[in-house]
Amino acid sequence: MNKDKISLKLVHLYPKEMNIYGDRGNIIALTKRCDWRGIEIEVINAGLDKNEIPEGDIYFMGGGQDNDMYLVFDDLVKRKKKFIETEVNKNKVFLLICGGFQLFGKFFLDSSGRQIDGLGILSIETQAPGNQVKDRCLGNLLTQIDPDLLNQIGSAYEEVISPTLVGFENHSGQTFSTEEHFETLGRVVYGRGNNPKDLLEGFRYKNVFASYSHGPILPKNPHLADFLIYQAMQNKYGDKFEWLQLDDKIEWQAHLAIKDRLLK
Amino acid sequence: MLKLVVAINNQATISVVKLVQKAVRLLGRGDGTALPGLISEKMSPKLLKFFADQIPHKILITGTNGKTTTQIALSSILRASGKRVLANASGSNMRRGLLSLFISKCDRRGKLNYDYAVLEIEEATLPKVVQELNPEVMVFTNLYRDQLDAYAEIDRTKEMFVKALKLSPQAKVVFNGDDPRLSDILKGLENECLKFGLDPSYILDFKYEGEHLKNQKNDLVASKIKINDDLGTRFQIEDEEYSFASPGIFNVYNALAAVASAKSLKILIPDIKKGLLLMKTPFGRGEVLKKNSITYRLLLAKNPAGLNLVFQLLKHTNKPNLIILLNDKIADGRDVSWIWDADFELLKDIGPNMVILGGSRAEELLLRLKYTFEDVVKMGERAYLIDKKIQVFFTPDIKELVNFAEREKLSKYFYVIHTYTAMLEFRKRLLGKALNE
Repeated sequence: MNKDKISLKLVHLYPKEMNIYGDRGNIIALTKRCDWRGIEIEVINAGLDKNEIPEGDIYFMGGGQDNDMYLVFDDLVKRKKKFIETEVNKNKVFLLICGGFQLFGKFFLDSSGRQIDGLGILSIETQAPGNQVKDRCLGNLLTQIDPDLLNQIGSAYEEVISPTLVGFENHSGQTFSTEEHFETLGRVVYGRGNNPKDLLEGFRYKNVFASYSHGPILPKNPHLADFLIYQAMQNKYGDKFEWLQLDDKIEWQAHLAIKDRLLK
Repeated sequence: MLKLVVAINNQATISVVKLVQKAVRLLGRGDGTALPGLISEKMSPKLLKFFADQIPHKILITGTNGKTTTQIALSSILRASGKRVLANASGSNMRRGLLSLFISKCDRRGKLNYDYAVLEIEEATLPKVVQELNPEVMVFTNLYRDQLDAYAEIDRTKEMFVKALKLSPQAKVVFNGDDPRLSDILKGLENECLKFGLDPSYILDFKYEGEHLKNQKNDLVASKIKINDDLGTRFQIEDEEYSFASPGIFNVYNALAAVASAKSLKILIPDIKKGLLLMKTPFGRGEVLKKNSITYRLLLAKNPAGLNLVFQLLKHTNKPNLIILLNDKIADGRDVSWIWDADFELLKDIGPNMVILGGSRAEELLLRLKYTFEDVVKMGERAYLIDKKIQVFFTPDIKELVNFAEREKLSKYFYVIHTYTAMLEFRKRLLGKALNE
């Protein structure tokens, strides 16, 4: 058993440019939760300086500031689109936050009216209403998890204490689906989510999970964190792996503290 | 005629606002700078310039960290050289606060009697007030990620600085030459500049973002930095030794900013040394509070860079007892995600004996600790043991936390790391009042 140790590769896409509002916490959460289970996890940084993205089991991209985002759009869409498409079709796990989310869509229309093409993997488009802070979707975010997603999470996580996701959103871009049928992370209970009209949060396609939730999203939502790891494990090992449940009292305490306050 | 109208108008505003200030104080509604400021802004839009024009030398200090300490250091130096100095506090670093300050310090006719104004200015406010204030010196401490939910993005802060500088070609600019973001902004400006920085061997402790300019040379360099046992600090510039009571290497930057500004104002070295030595430790920035034979050393941290510096400082202590307080009110920044950007992993080097967690987001702190160390074991209702050696107590309510620390007599000395409003609550609980004066 020793000779093939269970391991995963976590690729952090553009860690320098796309890492804001604590997004690094998602890397910490995934790493620790693998460690605690005895899954060896290697974190590989893939930034602008790399000609190719190294192959991984889980890919993570956070949010960024406008200027950095343009650099990343350029690099990713022009040079690395094919690789990403292949990985998505292989059901690899992606977690995309904020700017990373927008970048996987069809295009991003910035406040000056400039249109920037995205990867086109998610059937979404994003528009920035204006450069004013008042137009930002900013604040705590509470989402009721989509029933279908919750059901899937149940295969990886036995005791979901609350069928919700908590986080903090901070974005000017408003995201809309370009198709009638699409899958999200859930319905917004408190905050804005993708845009103030639909009150939906995030997007799902194959094993791509996109969200506007900083906070960071994973530490306070251990059910989502474990689901991502579980999907990656299944992808790599089929059903031949041992899967432990962890003690998440401290995680749920933090989750419920902010959830209960928002619902007051 | 117009001048007379303006004069009468100013006079009326000043009288009204002085009355309001008195009322606010009598009602005991804190330091109350917002309402008087609002009234004066509405009644006399030109009042800020009217006041600023009366003070011959104006120094504006801005940047993400260290504004207050720099202000206090420079004010102390100027006072040590016999000047009459008007300075503001961080609660009045925006337009309305400044107006309120001027009105509270002027006589009934609106006259101000000062040689120097040393004013810290909030970053987004700078371009809006810089023309009226007409500074002789502008000081930029650094440009870190700070309160990003307040002004959205650093790029925007950068733009604000550039805008302010373009409006002030007359100002001498004193800035942190070790910060690549600032160097970048100041490239190509015509202002007379004075750059300060640390001896390169110390810069590794600071996570500046951006590429360092090659062959960058600072005009004033601090070297031979020593931290005393009482966490006071000494350093040298050329062959002169300076010392001051604020803790930590990061405060050397603030002291250095003040020394550089004082030099550009032609203040003599003996006065500079004296002023630094006499400077009071600013509110919440290493301030010492004592109550019931327990000493608390207060260390403000409101962003990852600031917290990392506090952690670096605590490496100089031996098995410290820590209280960490995290609030998420507007003045703290509602988004607490920054604690995940801060290097809590430094706590492994610090090796605290005990950590007490409190504040409106104490649960988040406990979670951050869990993801810093290997294992956390619950020992009691509010007690945990981390990695078999660090005791953790969890008391979100700050009132209860202070009672708990006093009652249990856990230690005689605590370092208290806190966000802004958490400090106000803590002081209120400990001393019966949130603010001095």
